[in-house]
Amino acid sequence: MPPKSFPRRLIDFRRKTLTLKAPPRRITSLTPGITEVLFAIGAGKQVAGVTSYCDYPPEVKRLPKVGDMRTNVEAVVALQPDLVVADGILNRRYIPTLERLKLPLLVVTPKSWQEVAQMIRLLGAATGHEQQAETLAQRFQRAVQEARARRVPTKKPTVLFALNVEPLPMWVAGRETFVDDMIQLAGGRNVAADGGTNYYPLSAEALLLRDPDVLLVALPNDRLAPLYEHPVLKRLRAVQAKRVYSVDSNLFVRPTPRLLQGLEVLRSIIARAS
Amino acid sequence: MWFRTRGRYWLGMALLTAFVGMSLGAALCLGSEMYSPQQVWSLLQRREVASDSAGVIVWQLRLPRASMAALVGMLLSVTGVLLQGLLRNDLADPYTIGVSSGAALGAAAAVLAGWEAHWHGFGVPASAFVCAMGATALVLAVARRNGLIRISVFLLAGIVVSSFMWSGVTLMLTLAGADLSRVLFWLMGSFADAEWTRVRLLLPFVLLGLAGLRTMAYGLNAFALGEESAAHLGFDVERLKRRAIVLAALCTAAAVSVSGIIGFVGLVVPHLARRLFGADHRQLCWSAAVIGAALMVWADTLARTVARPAEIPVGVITALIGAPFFVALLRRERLT
Repeated sequence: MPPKSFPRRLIDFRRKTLTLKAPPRRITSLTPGITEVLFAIGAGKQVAGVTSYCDYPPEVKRLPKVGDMRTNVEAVVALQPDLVVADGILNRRYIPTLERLKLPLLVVTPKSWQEVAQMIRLLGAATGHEQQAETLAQRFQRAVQEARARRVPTKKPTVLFALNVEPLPMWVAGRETFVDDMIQLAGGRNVAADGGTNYYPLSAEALLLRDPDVLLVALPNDRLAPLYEHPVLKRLRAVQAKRVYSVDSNLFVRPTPRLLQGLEVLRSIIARAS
Repeated sequence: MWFRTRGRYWLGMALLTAFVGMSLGAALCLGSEMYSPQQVWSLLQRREVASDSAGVIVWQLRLPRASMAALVGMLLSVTGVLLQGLLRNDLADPYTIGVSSGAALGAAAAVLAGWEAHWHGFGVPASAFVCAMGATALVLAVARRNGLIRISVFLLAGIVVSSFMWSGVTLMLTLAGADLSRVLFWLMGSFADAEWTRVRLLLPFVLLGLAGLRTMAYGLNAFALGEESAAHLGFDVERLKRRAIVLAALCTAAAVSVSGIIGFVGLVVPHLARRLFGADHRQLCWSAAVIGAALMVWADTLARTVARPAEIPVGVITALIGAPFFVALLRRERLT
């Protein structure tokens, strides 16, 4: 596919159009996930502003900051960006202001595995890196095809992904999270999928009744101790069988190419359990 | 009301106590999975710790949780009676004296600092307890002059210190960003963390609160006539104030540090108890405790049942039930 030339019209996740006259040179990213995608598709040199939560790849830490999850709109304007990329959910409070200031704005709202691929393609088109973006997006779609092609094990291991251990209740990944998609792709079953969407507090007794084969916790290893001491948690099958894994939450909650790494981690963990 | 005469008081208390027992029983049956009363009864008779999920759920989750809810309900109600009596203010509740905001500050700091796993899981409660007592000490320091506590100044100091501490909490949450939902969940109150060690830790505070309120009952009854009248009747009002405030702070801090901030119980229950059983503090201390226990057990049962398998903070339930209830109580008071 030959790269189309600028000016080009882009349609973002809200179905709003934005016309870019030339490849942007001063992009401002308003979430860590967007920053990661921009760097992954080779548009890193065009990024002029990021958030203070952006930490990957490491060189982004040197870039000017425009706030954390709360956007400092003044700092955005001061950078004179020729493209602002915002997340429709995380940055929703600031989008009306950014629009009012007539900043060139693209809004992405990646909620599923497929939508991450869509976001990568959109950012590729916006920055003039469509080929790298296409390769990356295809890796996402191939993961889905491979998962469908793989024979389904007779008994899928049950998996629970939690953000914390104490204080109870545990906050777990429900439906419409990347983790939910990833657990299915990796051949497992998310035991918290029926309880709600997004991340929600799962009651301890519901946790005990669901009793997952595998427990993933987005905390460093040294903070998993309560699992082995708590009178109820230590009875969980995953805890007794030592199938509790400390994982890097950034590989599971951010809409970035690194979700593919998270999927690999998940797949090897689930393969060991089945 | 009907239960205020002497013979009927005992009848009413007996009925209420039976109701608390029934509520505890219901709390054991209801939850993510419903068990029949027979099932629960047979599980309870098996004394050894069962390894099947039903046994663990009833013995290790629901029973400590319901017990903790009952104890916290008692603590908050007893403190509510104590403070409404002492401050002679119908709007006083356990949180008037700055305890809750101090505990919130301590807990938020502990969660954000990652102390959840410290001290065998008691990092957050310990920090909350210390800060809660600190906040009360601060209020007392502001309100005390020449060794005397002026009630009106004390009330104002409580409000000022509270809002100061709350801004601290808000500031911390704003700066921290992450972990927000978990801190908020704690702030809204929850018994999800219940376990037997915590029940054992709470028990002495409940006994202390009940015994303390009972011994101060005469003093508080006299206080209802006004501070001066109480002094003329021969009560050492300053000593009464000091002891009541310290007791209230201890009880509230204990409750808040294990369960977060659960509103409305400490405000509504004393009013309800007074309407049902009369305003004599000798009886009020028992009646409020029992009503508080029943109310909190039901609130917690709802908190973990209505949205199952998710749970909602129990403070949401108590406010949802408590606020309309309080309004109804106010309306009736005006008519009679």
